[in-house]
Amino acid sequence: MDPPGGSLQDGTGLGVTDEDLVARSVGGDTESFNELIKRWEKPIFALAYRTIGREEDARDVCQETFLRAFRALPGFKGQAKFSSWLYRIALNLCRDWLRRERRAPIVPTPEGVDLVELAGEGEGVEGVDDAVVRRDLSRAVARAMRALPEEQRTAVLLKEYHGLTFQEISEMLSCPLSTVKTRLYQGLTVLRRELERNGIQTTARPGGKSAPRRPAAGQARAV
Amino acid sequence: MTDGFTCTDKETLITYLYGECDPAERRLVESHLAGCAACAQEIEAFGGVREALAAWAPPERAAGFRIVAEEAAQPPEVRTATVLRPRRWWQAPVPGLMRAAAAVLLFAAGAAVANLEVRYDKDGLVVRTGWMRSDDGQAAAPAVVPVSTPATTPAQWRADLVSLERRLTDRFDQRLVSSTPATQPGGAGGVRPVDERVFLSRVEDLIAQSEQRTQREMAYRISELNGEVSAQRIADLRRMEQGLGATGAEALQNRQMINYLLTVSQKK
Repeated sequence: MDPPGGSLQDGTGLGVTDEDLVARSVGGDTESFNELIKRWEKPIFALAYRTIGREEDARDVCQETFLRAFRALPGFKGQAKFSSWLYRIALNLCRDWLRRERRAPIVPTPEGVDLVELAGEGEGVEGVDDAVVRRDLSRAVARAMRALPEEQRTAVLLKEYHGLTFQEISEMLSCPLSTVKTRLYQGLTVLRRELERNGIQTTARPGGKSAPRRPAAGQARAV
Repeated sequence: MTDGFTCTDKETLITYLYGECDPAERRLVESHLAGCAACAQEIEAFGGVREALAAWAPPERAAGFRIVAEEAAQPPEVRTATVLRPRRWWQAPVPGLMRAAAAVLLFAAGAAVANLEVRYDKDGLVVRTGWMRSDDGQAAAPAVVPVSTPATTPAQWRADLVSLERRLTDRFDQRLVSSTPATQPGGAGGVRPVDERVFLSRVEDLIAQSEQRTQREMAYRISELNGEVSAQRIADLRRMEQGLGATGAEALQNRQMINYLLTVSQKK
């Protein structure tokens, strides 16, 4: 559950752990907290964006998450990882947002995404045709995710895009390990059904059986 | 798990899918998958779902905010308060062109009030206030004010004075000559002298008419000026609103953040 790129290899904070930065921040060093923001704003924003589905609101939630964390920092005793604590704050804010808005998450429509830019995100060289396919797929995934109940969606998000272990998710959501696994299974089942309904094939791929992906692979895509 | 893996054990299947099984569990699941098409197909489908999920990327733009120190947060708050307070219309800055136009109009209005005539010729710069002139040409002579005369020597001075005296004498004589026929028609029953009171009242009448005229003209020009000023002001305000519209949300967001920071720093 380290931030993308690891918690220790990040530019100015070379060799400094989140916990060190937290301790310095509590001591009044705002620059240390800014370093924490730099490390974690992308994952937190990504979580908020995929939960809420609206970019501007996700930015608000992201900003609010760090402000709340900054205010509550003196009360943070290191009982959990700083990142877990941040995720929990962000998830609570997202839940508040969804309840306040009284609606399901919005399906983000990446129509405004520049295809060239989108192509640039892929690994290696990707043509515009591939970028178009990926954009359509992205839209289909966003739509399928909306079909998930909130608990399943949260479990899928934390596992797939943030590379958290089942144990970490269980602690973060304060629920048994088996519940987390069940939510994941149910979530993937619903996603499979929804994607296939939208014409996305999940099984008929050349190469047959797909190898289970390592958590690190999910983490690498986290943001 | 030691007694084998069954198709209903979805928790273990998921643990296997995400690579969190211990080696013994993994072997059990793999041997089961080799003989169970349904579970093999399910795990393959989940792999496909996970591949599809990877395509969903959030926008790349960074949020770009940071916590600022207490003393740095204070002045922007003060400045924000002054900037965000709407200005009264008379405090709004007047564009240069409008100011120039207003100056010209005011000058024109002032000139209209005075019915001013400015002339520069061989007699020097002459400023004439024309509303003393009558329409029928019988009123008093226009007031001529030589503002400046060309530089002269004492000899010229003397010559000028002599010529002036001569001109005045001539004019006086002409006046006497011209007034004589006017008194003759009414002179059957005796010569009636020109009634100065009648003459004065006529002059006063003319002055009053002229004043009314200039007042009307001035009122008209002021209303015209006012209209132009307000139209320009509305246009400026609209332009400012358009300019602020794009950054309005950002400004609000920044302001909220600063407020939070202030409360945080106060608590500290």
